[in-house]
Amino acid sequence: MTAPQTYDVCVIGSGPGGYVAAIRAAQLGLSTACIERESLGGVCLNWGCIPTKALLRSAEILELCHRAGEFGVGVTGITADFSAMVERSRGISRKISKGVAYLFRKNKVDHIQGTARLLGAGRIAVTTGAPGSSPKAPGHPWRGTGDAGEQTVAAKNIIVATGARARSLPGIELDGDVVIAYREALTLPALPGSMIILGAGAIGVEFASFYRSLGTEVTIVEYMPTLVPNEDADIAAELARAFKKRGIKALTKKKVTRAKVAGGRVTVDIEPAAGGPSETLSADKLLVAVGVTGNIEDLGLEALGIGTSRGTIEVDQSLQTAVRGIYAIGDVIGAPALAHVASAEGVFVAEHIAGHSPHPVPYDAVPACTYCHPEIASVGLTEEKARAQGIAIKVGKFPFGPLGKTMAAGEYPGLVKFIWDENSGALVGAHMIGPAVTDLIASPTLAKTTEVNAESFIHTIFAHPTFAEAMKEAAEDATGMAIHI
Amino acid sequence: MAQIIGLPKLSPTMEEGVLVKWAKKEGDSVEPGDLVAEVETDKANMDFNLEDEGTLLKLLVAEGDTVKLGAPVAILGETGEDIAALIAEAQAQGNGQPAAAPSPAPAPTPAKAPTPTPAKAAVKPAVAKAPAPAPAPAPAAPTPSAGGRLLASPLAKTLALELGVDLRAVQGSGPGGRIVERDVRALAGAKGAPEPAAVEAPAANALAVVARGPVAVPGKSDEYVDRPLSTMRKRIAERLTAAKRDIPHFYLTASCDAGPLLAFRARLNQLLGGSGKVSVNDLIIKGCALALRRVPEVNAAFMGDAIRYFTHVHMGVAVAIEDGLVTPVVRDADLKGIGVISAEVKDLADRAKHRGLKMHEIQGSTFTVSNLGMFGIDVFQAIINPPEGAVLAVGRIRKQPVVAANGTITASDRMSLTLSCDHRTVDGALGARYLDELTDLLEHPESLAL
Repeated sequence: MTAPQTYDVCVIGSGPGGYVAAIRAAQLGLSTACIERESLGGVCLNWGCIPTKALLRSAEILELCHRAGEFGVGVTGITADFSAMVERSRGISRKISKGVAYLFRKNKVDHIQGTARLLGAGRIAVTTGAPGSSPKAPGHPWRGTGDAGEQTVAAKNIIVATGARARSLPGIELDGDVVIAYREALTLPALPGSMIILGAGAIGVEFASFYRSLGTEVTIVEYMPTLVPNEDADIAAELARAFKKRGIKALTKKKVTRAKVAGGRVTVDIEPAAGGPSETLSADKLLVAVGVTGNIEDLGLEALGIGTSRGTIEVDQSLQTAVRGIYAIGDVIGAPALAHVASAEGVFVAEHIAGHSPHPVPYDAVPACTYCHPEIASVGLTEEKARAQGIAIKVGKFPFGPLGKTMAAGEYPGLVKFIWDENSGALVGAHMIGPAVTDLIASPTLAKTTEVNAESFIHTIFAHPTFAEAMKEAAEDATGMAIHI
Repeated sequence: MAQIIGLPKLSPTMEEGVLVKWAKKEGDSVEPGDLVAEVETDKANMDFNLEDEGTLLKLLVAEGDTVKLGAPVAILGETGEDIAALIAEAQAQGNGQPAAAPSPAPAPTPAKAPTPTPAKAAVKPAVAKAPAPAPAPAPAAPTPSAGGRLLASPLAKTLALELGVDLRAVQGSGPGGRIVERDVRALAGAKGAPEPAAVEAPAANALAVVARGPVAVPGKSDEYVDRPLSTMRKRIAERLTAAKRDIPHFYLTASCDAGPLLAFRARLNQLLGGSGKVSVNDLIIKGCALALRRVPEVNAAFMGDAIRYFTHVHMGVAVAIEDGLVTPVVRDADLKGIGVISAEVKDLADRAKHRGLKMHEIQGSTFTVSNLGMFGIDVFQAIINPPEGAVLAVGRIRKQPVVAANGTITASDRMSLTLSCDHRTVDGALGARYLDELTDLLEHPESLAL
C-alpha cells in the first residue's frame, strides 16, 4: 500500500451529478474519488431516466405493431411479454452502469464502494457495503483497513451528490408490493390488471402511458387542476385529450386521503381537492408519484452546521454549503430534480474547485422532457408564469398535424407553442407536445442560452420535411402578429 | 390591395421620428423609389422613400407629428379602393405598436415559402432607401474589429440598436467574451427589462401622436413643468451617460500663446477680402488634424479586444443647436486647406441648425473639437464622443500676464486647450505629446498652411 493520500476532490454519489463532477474534476488534473453505496450511475441510470425509456420503447413498438395495418404491414400473433420487457430494461441499466465504471477507470477516478458520512471539512467516513463490492486495486489510497468496517477518506473538497428518492403522502404507506413507487414499478413481477397512479407529474404520466399500452386499466389522480401541472396549460390540455383517447382516466383537482391494502389489492379514498364527498376506487396497484425528497439523512450534515430545509441541502451561488470546501449538487439541493441539471451543476462545481471561473448554470434555460405518448418537452416560462411576471409577450402556436412529415409518419398531431418577449424579441418559453419533441427542444434551448431572438429564429432555414418545421411556423405565428424587434 | 405603410427604420438607432414634411399628398401616385416624406430622426433628417407603387390613399400623420418606429403613417393602394377598414385598423394599432419587425435591411420574403398568413394584416414596413453609403460603420452595427469579429448575441444586437448602445463599447460577459443581453442592458444604464414597455405607452386607440413642446403634469403645474425629451435629447442623454460612465476619462490642460494665431487669422482674412472669413476654430481644427498626423496613436478607438488606429483624420466639430448639439464631420481635415475647412464648417453648422444634416455627415469622426471660447468660457473638460479616443475642449482667448524666462512680465493672448483622453487608448504621456505638438502647431500657425 502506498502512503495515504489526500484527494483534491471526493464526490459522494455517482448519479448524473456525481459521476460527471468526478470525471470533469479528474479531467482538470485534480485527484478524484467517488463514493457510491449502490450501483454506479445512481437513480437516473438504474431506476429512472434510462430504464423507463427502455420500457416505453417496448410499449411504442407494441403500439406500432397493433397499428401496422394502417401502414400496409400485416402483423399477426402480437404478444406482449412483460417480464421480457422488464429484463431488457434491466439489462440496459446494467450495461450503462458498467459504462460509468469504464469512464472512471479511463479518467483515473477512484471508485469507492460504501456509504459515506461527513466527519468535517475534508474528511469522510466510509462504511463498506456488501462483501466483494469494495475495490481491491493494489495500493488503493484511502486510509482504511480493508473490506469491512469504517474507513476515512481525506479530500480537500467534497461534493455531496446523494440525489433524492420518492416521497409519499400522509396516510399512504409505501409497502413495496401493492402501494409502490417508481422503483418497484420498473420491476413488477407481473403485469397488473389495474393501477391507480397518484400524481400526474413526469413520472406519473410516463408510467400511465407505459402500463396503458400494455393493457392495464390506469387511473391518474392529481391534486392540481391539470395533468403535468408544471407544463403550459395548452400542452396539459392537449395531453388530457390524448390520454382520454387512449383510455387513461384522469381525475384532476382530487386528493387521496387514505389507501388501504387488503387481499392483495388497494382501496383508495378520493376527495375533491377543495373538500367534499369522498369516493372509493380500488386497483391491483397504487403507484405513488408525488415527487421526491433529498437524501440528506445520515450524512452528518447537522453536526457540521450544514443547513437543510424541506429535505434539501442549502447552498450558496457557488453551490457551496455553509462549510467551505463542501459543495452540494443535483436533486439533493432541490428542484428542478433533473439529471441534466445535476450534470451541469457537477461541471460547474468541478471547474470552480479547479480555480476556473465557470459560467453559472443557466437555470432559466433548463429543458424538461416527459416521455409519455405523446411526448412533452419545454424550456423557459409558461404563458401563465410569463404573464404573472408582467412580461409583455407574443404567443405563436402551430400543430404538427398539417406537416407532411407528421402525416407520412402517421404521428400524433400535437402542438408547438413559442412565447417571445414582445419588446426585445427574446425567447421566453417554448412548449411542445407531439412527435420527437424531446429531441426538438434542444434548438429552443440553444436559442435561449445564446439569445437567438425571434427575428434570427425565423431567418433560420428548417429542413423539409421534418417535425422541426412546426417550430419555425410557431415562431412566425407569433412574430407575424407584431413583435417589436 | 391597399396596405398600411409603417414608419421605417431610417437610422440604425432610430426609435421614433418626426414627420417633417410630406413630399406627396393624398391622391398622388407613387413609383418605387419615390420620396414621400422627410423624417427627422435622432440625428439627421432622412428621406423616406417608398419601394412600392400605387396611390397614396390616405396620409395618417400630420406634418410635425412624432411617430413611433413601425407605426402607420399612410395607406397605399389603388384609386377608388375602400380603405375604411384599413383606417380603422391603423387607428387600432395606433402609434408605438409596430406590427412588423422593422429591420435595417428587411430580407425579401421568398415567394415560394409556405408561410402561414398572419391572422391580422401586418403593417408593412416601407423599405427605406438606404442613405448614401456612410464611409464609417453605423454606431451600433457589429463591425469587424482589428482583433477579429465582434461577438454578440442576436438579442444583444437588437437591443443595442433599440437602446442606442454602441456595441463596441460593451464588454462581453458571455461564453468566450460574447456580448449578451445583460451586458447591453448594463451599459444602457438604469434601463431595466420592463423599461421599453414603460416608455412606449401603448396607445389605446387612434393614432396616438406624442405631443411636442412643454406638457404640464396634471396637478403639479405650479411647481414644475415636465418637458418631454426630444429624440435628440434622449440620444444625448443615453450616449453621453454611457460615454462618461464607461470610458475612463482623464484630462490634460495646457495654455498656449494665441497671439501668433490671431495675427495669422487676421492676415488670412485680409487675403480673403470679402470672400469668406476664417475663424480661430477653423485654424484649431486644422491644427488638431495635423497634430493627429504627428501623433497618430491618438487617432484611435478602443474596440474591446483591440485598439483601432484610423488611417484617415475625420474631425468632429461640436455645434450647439436649439435644444442640443450635433457633431458634423469634416472628413480628411488634415488634407484640406484652411479655406475649404472654413467653408465646410460654416455649411455644416448652418444646416445643423436647421436639422438639415444627412446621416453620413454626422458619422465617422475620429477626433472631436469643442470650443466654448465664444461663450466666454476659460477652461472646460469635454466628454469623449465614442468611439473616439480623445476630445479637445478649447477656451476663450484672453490677455494674461506671462512671466518670461528673464523675469519680465508681459500681457499675452492665452488660450486653454484641454484634452480629454480615453485611458484605455491614450496614456498620459501620449496625450501630453499630442498636446505639445498641437501647441507647437498653433503657436507657429504658418505650419498650418504647409
